Amino acid sequence: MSTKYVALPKGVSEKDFDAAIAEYRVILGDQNVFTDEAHLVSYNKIMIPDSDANHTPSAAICPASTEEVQRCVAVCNKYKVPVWPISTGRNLGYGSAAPGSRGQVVMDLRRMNRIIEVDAALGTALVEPGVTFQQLYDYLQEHKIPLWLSCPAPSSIAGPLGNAVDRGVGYTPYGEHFMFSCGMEVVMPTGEVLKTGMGSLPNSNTAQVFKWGYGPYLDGIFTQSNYGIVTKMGFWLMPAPPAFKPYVIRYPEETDIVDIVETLRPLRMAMIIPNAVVIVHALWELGSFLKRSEHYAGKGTIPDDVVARLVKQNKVGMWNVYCGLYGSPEQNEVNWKIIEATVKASGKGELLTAEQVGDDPVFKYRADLMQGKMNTAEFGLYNWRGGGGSAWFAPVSQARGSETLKQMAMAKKILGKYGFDYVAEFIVGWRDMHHIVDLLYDRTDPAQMQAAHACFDELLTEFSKEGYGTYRVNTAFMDKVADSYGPVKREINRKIKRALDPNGIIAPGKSGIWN
Amino acid sequence: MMISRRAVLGAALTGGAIAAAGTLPAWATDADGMAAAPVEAPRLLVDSAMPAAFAEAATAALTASGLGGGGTVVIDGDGTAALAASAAWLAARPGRRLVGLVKDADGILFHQFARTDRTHWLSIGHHGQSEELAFQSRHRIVGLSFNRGLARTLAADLAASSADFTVTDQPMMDHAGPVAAPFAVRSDTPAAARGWETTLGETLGWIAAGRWPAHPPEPGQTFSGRGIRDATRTFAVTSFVIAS
Repeated sequence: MSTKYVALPKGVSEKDFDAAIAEYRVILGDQNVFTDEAHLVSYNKIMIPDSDANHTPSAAICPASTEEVQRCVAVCNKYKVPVWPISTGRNLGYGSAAPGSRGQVVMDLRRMNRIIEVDAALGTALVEPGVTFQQLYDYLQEHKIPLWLSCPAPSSIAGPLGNAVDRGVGYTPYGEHFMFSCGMEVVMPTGEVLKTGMGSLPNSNTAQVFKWGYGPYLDGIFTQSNYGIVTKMGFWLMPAPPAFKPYVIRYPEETDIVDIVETLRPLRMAMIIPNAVVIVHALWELGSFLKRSEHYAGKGTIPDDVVARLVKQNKVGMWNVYCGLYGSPEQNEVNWKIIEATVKASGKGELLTAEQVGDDPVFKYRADLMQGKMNTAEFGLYNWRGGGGSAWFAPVSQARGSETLKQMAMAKKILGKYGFDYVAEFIVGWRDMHHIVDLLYDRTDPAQMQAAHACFDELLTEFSKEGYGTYRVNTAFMDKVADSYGPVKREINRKIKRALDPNGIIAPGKSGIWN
Repeated sequence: MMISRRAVLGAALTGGAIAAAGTLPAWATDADGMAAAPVEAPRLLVDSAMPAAFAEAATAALTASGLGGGGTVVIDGDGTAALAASAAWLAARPGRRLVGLVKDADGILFHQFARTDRTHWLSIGHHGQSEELAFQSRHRIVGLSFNRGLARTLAADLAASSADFTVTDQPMMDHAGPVAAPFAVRSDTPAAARGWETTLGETLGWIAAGRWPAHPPEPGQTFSGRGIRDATRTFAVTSFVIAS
């Protein structure tokens, strides 16, 4: 259908959209409502293996307050215009800032960037969606508040609220970000403002210290969902430890993943290793600073012997385990001896401290991440193959060596079938592993685009068959993943959606939830 | 002379009418909040691994337009600081423009640094060549009203230099209608002596200067040619023109 807009929301006439845009402009000002392609291209740039056209927004609106969000939601209800809220929109391998489907209006919350409160004594923060990790880090530094953040790899440019609402993870002892959140403010699809936990109690000062409140715990239903727009969120921040000791354990063989997990899981569960340990495969480690074409020029997956050669040349492990010790020097010393003894007893792995590693930029960026310091070194992965394509495949496994070996073998086989490399890491949770595979491909090559889409689809299919669910997925595959969790869960999600959002205006299709 | 000729040639290949060189196209004056022209000389942001021809051609176009070059920031190694500084420079004053050709990772990072509320993308494209794909030169241009004709112009140059290439023009807006007639390869054009970086730099320079002629919208299409493959080079880079 011909229209003057870049795209139109599904089922919305141009006349109604004209009216909606006019009302958004009254609420937000002309300068905060975008319908021109020069602005919208920024919200349409995706890295996932799907056509840009499937994710083209019709407009972007940028409210600066909860009240403006409420007023915009009222307009959305009036004209049945769907909005796709983003906080900072840096979920690159999961869909970036682009809406889940064509024609949705992006509600960009980056102007809502106030750090409302940081309580140095209680170690809490209350922030809006547009606050970035860098901003919060700078605030803590500037005010000399001895608290640490936990951030994901894109760190400085991403934000704590969006990352936690998407159930992202980081690398400090507070790395399970949603677990360390406390209290939300949510604009409901009806325009009401809900404060979860203790937040709805008049005169309460416990909203950021006690998560559960009274009655059903609601915060979870606003994560990875489309039941409301989270406009404020509380977090617990980690007291800066007196001493921090980062270290790496390097292992020479891919099959060592079994021993790694079996050796480290007891230490992690006992909190001798307190942080979210990351086990990085050689190609993730090397890919952050090498270019594939300079080391392998053939077609198809980079051969194992080439990877082994690169491992030797660059003095990294086939697996590289990054951990940290956090505490007083005395505490760290005790735990260090336990770790040394455990690794030695396992008969595998080279345990290295920061001093032993020396001036190694990869170790430095991992050490930075483990203490919540900002860096963007991992963007180097996008030069490994080049072409701007990336899709994060994120199945969960038990923290058992046999399971991780099985998942690695499955992933390598499917990636190999389509000519892609196994660029992966495992992040150790409390009893689980997040297996993150970055499917890197070249978007300038239509054949690779097609292959990447088919490869991702097959990864999901085959892992689901084995009972491995993915914990996050990009916007092109949300329905497929929702299906993998079964019809009952999907129907319950839909019933909740219909009850809370009868017009289906908030992020239709997010996590496979439609009404 | 060559710059004007190339600009005219690029537009002529579309078969559509063009604005006379030196006049501002309509989009520069009536687009949503867009400054009619840069308030100061546009700046370049270029990876050190790319041939100097790109920056030279862009600077030549800017100079010919009367704006002159606002300097070149060269990224060598970790470009994070330069990318952040360039994004901050751009956002600091309305009417600034930045022309870039950087590695893909830096392009992705720059896109994250650029403020969506204070910047307009006038052009964005990916360019790649690798041994894995037999050294075919591949270009994917996001078609915007500001860079219409870029893909066609680039393809014409690549064809004229007998390169083996694909150029995909992927318009952001869905333009229905017939695809314009395929361009004719002009063996007498100076393109054979130019690399694609020269054509790209020159065109992006014109776009940044607000002097790129208006072109009619076209549906998405892929241009391709079979010819010489340059086995001496690999690259994976992102090009852009961005305005505040």
